[in-house]
Amino acid sequence: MSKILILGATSAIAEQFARLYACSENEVLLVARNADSLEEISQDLNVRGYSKTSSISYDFSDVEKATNLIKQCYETLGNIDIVLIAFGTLPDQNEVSLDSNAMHKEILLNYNSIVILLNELANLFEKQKNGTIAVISSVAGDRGRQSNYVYGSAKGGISIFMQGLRNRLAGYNIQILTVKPGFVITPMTDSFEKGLLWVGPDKIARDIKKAINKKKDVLYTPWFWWWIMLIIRFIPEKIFKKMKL
Amino acid sequence: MKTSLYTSWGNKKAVPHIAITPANVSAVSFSDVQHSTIAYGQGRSYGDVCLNANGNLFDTQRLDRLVDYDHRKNLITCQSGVILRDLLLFLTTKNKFVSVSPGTSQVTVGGMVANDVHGKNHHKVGSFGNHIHSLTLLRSDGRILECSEDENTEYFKATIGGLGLTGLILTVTLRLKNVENNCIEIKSIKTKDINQMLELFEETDADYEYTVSWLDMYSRPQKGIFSCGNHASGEIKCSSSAAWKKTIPINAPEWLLNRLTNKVFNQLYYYKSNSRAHDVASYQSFFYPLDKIEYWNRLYGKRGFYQYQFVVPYEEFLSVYTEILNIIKQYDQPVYLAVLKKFGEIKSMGMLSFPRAGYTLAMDFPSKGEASLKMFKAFDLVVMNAGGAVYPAKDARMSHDIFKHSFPRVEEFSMYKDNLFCSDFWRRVEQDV
Ligand SMILES: Cc1cc2nc3c(=O)[nH]c(=O)nc-3n(C[C@H](O)[C@H](O)[C@H](O)COP(=O)(O)OP(=O)(O)OC[C@H]3O[C@@H](n4cnc5c(N)ncnc54)[C@H](O)[C@@H]3O)c2cc1C
Ligand SMILES: NC(=O)c1ccc[n+]([C@@H]2O[C@H](COP(=O)([O-])OP(=O)(O)OC[C@H]3O[C@@H](n4cnc5c(N)ncnc54)[C@H](OP(=O)(O)O)[C@@H]3O)[C@@H](O)[C@H]2O)c1
Repeated sequence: MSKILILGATSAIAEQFARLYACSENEVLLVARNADSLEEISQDLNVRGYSKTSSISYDFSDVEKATNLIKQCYETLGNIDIVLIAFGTLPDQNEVSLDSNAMHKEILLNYNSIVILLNELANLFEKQKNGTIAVISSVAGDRGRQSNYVYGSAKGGISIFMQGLRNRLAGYNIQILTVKPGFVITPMTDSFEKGLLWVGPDKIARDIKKAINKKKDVLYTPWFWWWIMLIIRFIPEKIFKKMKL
Repeated sequence: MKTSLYTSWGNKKAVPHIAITPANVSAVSFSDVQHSTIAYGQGRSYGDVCLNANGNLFDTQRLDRLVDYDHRKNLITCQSGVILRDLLLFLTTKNKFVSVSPGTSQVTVGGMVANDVHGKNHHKVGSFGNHIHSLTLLRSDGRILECSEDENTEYFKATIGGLGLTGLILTVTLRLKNVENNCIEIKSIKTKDINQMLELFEETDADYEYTVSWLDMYSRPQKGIFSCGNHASGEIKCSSSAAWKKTIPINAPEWLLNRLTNKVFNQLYYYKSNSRAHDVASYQSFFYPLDKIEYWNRLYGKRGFYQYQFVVPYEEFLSVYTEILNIIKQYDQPVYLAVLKKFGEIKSMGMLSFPRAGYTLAMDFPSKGEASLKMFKAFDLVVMNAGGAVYPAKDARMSHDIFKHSFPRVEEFSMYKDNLFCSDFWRRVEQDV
């Protein structure tokens, strides 16, 4: 029996993830801002077989309300076995380079709001002494590139924050899972040309579930991104800085 | 909204569309549609019924949610973008199954309605449209019509087999059947010629729900494998082959699939199967053997391929078949895959439904430009003379008169067509309608 909390439940990856746990032993709480999608998703998950499906409408840029949100989630579920943080935005690097206010908003959502939620969750999980905290970071956080370093730095920050948290909670029977997907076909990437390296959100979701079962710390998904990022990280900065990436 | 390339299963050159991919049913809006639009499910139609080159397109991939399930009444309601594969994974856990399934599970519920698809059990239960309890249709004027046999009946009949032209199907409620497990009991029989094959269809009609036949069109006379099956009974479980699915990532070079490799494949396929084999297999391996290789259409290379599927009345079939064989010989074209099925007498629901009493033959040909097109025209004449029809779901070239001949109710249908909806297929066949 698992109680699952999904922050950013309308994300394509999160929706596929939630479907994988649908059965009469499990309960799910969905948090997202798009009320229409939220209603359809919760109806779908209900049909698929959760014992209970609830939802909270919430805009994650409301950073001040994060503490309250987590409290409310805890009250709804009683305890939390798995939490997945999936919301995020992928800004156009050129636009944010020219507009610092827009950049600030992106950093607030993709970094600040996530680490505040993580902080609240970590303190509760520490008392609970079990469970999984999973966050979708990105391979883009492994090295800064001119084409998306605002997004990349927020993701990189999340990955490092998660490392620290993992270290802090190592003795508490808590899994801190950093998920680093490569290219995924979701609304976030609707405007991209797709090629061979692209996969559907269902593949990422299945990999996350496997990584949870295996108590992994960091997941590159699909697997080949581990190799790709290994090579990318190894390129000396002297050369890397001149590359068009 | 953005311009993206879309193609269909025939794998011809992809064409640009201004795609709208709604995140939920309430988000569907016509305000961005410029001239015309069409729904696109999984693009498993072979030709252009799901394409609207340089125009708009509603991609339904995110409308893939279940809405309601009623175990007792045997009903499921789902959004139109739900993929059959996923639906069956859900249904089989409840010991339920769809009443009709095509030869691939990578199709959407909306696509199955719009082509009124048939399965291997037409002789027993009719086509997909015979098992739709109701559906909701969004018209471009914003109206949402609840359609069923009791309500908005004409729209219901126009939408089933309506090639996506009556509006956007939002949700569909299907009548389900009970099964005891996820297995099919199969009997396969090697046949030495077409006559034996037809006899087997007649013989097995009553006892077997599913019947289908594969034909090796290279052999003389045409050998084949006839298979028939029923849902198995009892508490057994068959492992599905989904785990070892392979994918063809890119178009194969033209030389890969040629007469020789295909001939060898056909012979191997024929000889490797026992002459009278009994087997119990998962529903996936019985219904969707081709799904084991994702994007097998890419094996045909970048020129793509055609499928020609027709139906003719029972008594006409043998003579039509002989004529078709002669035409193929005359045009010297290779047939890479041929499948024969029998349609029963149950009347289809849709005004433009393809299934009707008779034998239906589907043949795959690599695209050889003009030569292929000329050959299909010659087929058309034979099929029309026999009072038959050509299947739009598999078509990329039929003319307006062939369409009109095949679907005599098209004028009645036009009254329910939505003005904003149009496809490349419709543009081709609508003249004179
Ligand atoms: C390997 C293989 C085997 C097949 N076997 C069979 C078979 O045995 N029997 C059979 O009948 N067919 C068969 N087909 C054809 C296939 O079942 C049909 O073409 C089916 O309609 C494809 O569904 P799709 O979701 O890919 O729809 P698409 O090909 O994307 O679209 C098909 C039509 O449906 C319309 N449509 C889709 N969604 C909606 C919606 N939400 N609202 C309104 N209109 C909509 C489109 O506009 C278009 O006109 C086979 C195809 C393949 C590739
Ligand atoms: N797609 C990829 O290639 C890829 C690669 C690596 C990592 N990721 C990461 O994967 C995660 C999931 O993204 P996805 O690919 O599944 O794309 P997605 O479907 O577009 O999901 C992003 C989700 O974030 C939500 N969101 C954005 N801003 C919000 C806010 N202020 N309040 C509430 N919700 C908000 C969106 O909600 P609305 O529907 O309301 O807008 C949407 O549901 C993201 O963290 C993304 O960075 C994606």
